[in-house]
Amino acid sequence: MAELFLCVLAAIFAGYFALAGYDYGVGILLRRTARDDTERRMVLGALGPFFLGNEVWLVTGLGLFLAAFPMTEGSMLSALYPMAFPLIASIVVFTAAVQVRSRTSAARGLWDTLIVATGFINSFGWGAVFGAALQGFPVHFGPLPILTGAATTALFVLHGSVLLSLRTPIEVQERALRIAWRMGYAAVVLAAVAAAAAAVLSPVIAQPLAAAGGTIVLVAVLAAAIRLLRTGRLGWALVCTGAAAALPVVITGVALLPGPYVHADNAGMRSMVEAAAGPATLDFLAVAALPTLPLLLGVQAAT
Amino acid sequence: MSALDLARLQFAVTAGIHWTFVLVTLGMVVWLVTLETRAALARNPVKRELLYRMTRFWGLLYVINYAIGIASGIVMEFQFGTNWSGLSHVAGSVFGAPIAVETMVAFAFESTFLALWIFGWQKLPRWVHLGLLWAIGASAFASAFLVLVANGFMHFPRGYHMTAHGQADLDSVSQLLSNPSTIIAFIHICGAALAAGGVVITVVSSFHLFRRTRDEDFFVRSFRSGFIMGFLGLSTAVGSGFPQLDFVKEIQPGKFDHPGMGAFLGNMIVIGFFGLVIMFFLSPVIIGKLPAKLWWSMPLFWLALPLPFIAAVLGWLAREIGRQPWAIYGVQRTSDAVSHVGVGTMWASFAVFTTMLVALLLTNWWLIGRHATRGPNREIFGITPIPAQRPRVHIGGSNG
Ligand code: HDD
Ligand code: HEM
Ligand code: HEM
Repeated sequence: MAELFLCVLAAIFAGYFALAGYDYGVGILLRRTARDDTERRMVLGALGPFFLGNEVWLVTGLGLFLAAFPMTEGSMLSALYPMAFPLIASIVVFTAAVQVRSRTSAARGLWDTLIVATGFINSFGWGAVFGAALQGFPVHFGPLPILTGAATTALFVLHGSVLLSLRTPIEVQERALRIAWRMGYAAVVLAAVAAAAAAVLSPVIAQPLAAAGGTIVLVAVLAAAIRLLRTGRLGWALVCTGAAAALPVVITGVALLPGPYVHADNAGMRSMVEAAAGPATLDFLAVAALPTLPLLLGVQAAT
Repeated sequence: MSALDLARLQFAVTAGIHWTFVLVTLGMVVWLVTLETRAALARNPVKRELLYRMTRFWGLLYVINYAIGIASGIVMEFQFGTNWSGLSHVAGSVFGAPIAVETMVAFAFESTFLALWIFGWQKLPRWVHLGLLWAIGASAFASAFLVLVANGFMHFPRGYHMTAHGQADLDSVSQLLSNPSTIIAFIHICGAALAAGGVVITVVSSFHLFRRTRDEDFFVRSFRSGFIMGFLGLSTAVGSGFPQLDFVKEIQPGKFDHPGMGAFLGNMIVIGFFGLVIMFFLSPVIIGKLPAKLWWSMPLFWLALPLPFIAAVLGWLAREIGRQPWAIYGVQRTSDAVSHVGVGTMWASFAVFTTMLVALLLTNWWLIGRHATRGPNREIFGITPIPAQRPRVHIGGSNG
């Protein structure tokens, strides 16, 4: 049962990055792709009615994490405190700034600046969190979080630019496409460098083969995205960049299996699955929470 | 201040602010469901158009509050992991479940349904559109109930046993869900939310009546309904408050003996009790067109705006501070529940989150105030109303 929840959790977080990845990417690109207010509204409009729908997956994932793996959630989040709290703050500001900007014409310049800045912090921050987890706890400074942060930033910008080239009128689209072409290569290089650095620097990778396999898939998906962009099949390119945005969290998680280990007060270290919630809780979650996931997916996909 | 004090202060501030958003959400959604249901059932096309117009105007107020408030909920959820990891170590397996189900069933559904509702005006069949609003309302109340399940467990833990590792394991889902501490607080909170929603509607309407804008019928009706809703809500809060007081004295003896506690509780009771008496004597004002005729007296009603919010925050302060020194009553002390985080980091996060949430709160009320004062005669949800006198041929949201 705990294994099932581990997979569900991975799927939810992957979904969050596949969707919110373009939000943050588009946020970073807000000023570069759009020259005036009308264009900026088009750019943010490309995020669609489900802008809030994307953050939903983060909130859902965290809730399920807390419920099914309370020990791991508590240990990881409090260990990651110095990174987690600026990241949460920035996600909140990003969400609010996009909302406020579309509801008032006052201080648009300020909101735009906030959107660009927090879009960048969110993209970089998530990558840095993966890097920090790969360095092992307690968190400490090192080159790895910076490299992984740069890699996710490139991935999200790529994802966002492909979304824009699919959903905006011609002038904006051209600028977005140009960025997408360049970002494609940057993302391949940065992802490869980050993976290589992790292989050398990380003392806690427990599944090197799976992690290497995941990285190869990531590079292959990026290569496919670049090809699809060249041939103008933008819809499929978006699918590929979405997969690329989702892969880092999956690769990091798989690399650390069966950890991350947590300290259980009386019984020493236990793996994530061993430290899962009790059977009655998991049953309750399986009945009350899991069936809603496909339903929600269906509603979101249908629109 | 120690890291523990700061973590507590941070929780109090963030929860208090989150709660003011939630009060408006819960109160307004009841009003919206009433309006749109009546609109969908109305036979007279003029009246139906009026009711749809009212749904859109008050609906946008709801949407603004939800869209800005969503961020405050995210902060709440993160805090359990970052600041209170001891709590999740000991009781996460019992108490994380309702929170997870809240976010999945209620929060995720609500935002999805709300997006469909917003973009479904004039696109979806009338009954589907109405169904979405009912689903939004059900999700909001389910959401409130589920957090109170978690909170009720902290006040009156049952349905669990302690494992050898010193962790609480859930035995009985039904005992968890039927916790009397949860149920009685839920009823009381529904009353508080209706009172707050009613006051917001009354105050906004009285503003337009005072300015004698041309939508007299629109705001006389809103004023009357807001007043009735507020009165019902307040009666519920007061009526359930005294039994709740007895119950709490039983499960947490001595809770309100501390003078500080008495002050929180006392002021809430004063607001509730005198509010009810004053509303009772003022109630003839809702008869017929009186609110419009007595337009000059309307600023008096504005004074009521902060009261339900003050009462509701005071209630929480009494409930939560009164539980000290326990985080989970009789099971885990607050000092064991807090994470091992340095004072400096705690200060930083306290300062950042407080600034941010206060900014959100001010932005929210500024946007709501602007929307409310601009009134209903403008494009809302992509529909521009035709002046009130002439009946419309195409009815908003009903072309199905
Ligand atoms: C409009 C808001 C409002 C009003 C008018 C009242 N309350 Fe209240 N009260 C709340 C809003 C509220 C609340 C914010 O909703 C609380 C916090 C926790 C809860 O269950 O409800 C609360 C808590 C709360 C508690 C603490 C429960 C605990 O410690 O577990 C008691 C004993 C009362 N209330 C009693 C009353 C009485 C006797 C009232 C009137 C005469 C009253 N309340 C009016
Ligand atoms: C009595 C206290 C609380 C009540 C009654 C309450 C109720 C609600 C309601 C009605 C909503 C908006 C409607 C919805 O999203 O479905 C909401 C939102 C939310 N609440 Fe709370 N909540 C309370 C405290 C908390 C706490 C302690 C948490 C932390 C776990 C929390 C987490 C959330 C989240 C994540 C959201 C979604 C974002 C939002 O709409 O603001 N809430 N809550
Ligand atoms: C939204 C309304 C709420 C308000 C205004 C509120 C207020 C407070 C206050 C004032 C404290 C600090 C008490 C002290 O340090 O003396 C506190 C602590 C706390 N509350 Fe609440 N609370 C709310 C809802 C909830 C809910 C629904 C939950 C559970 C799901 C919850 C869980 C906690 C926890 C974990 C703490 C910290 C531990 C402790 O001090 O006992 N609160 N809250």
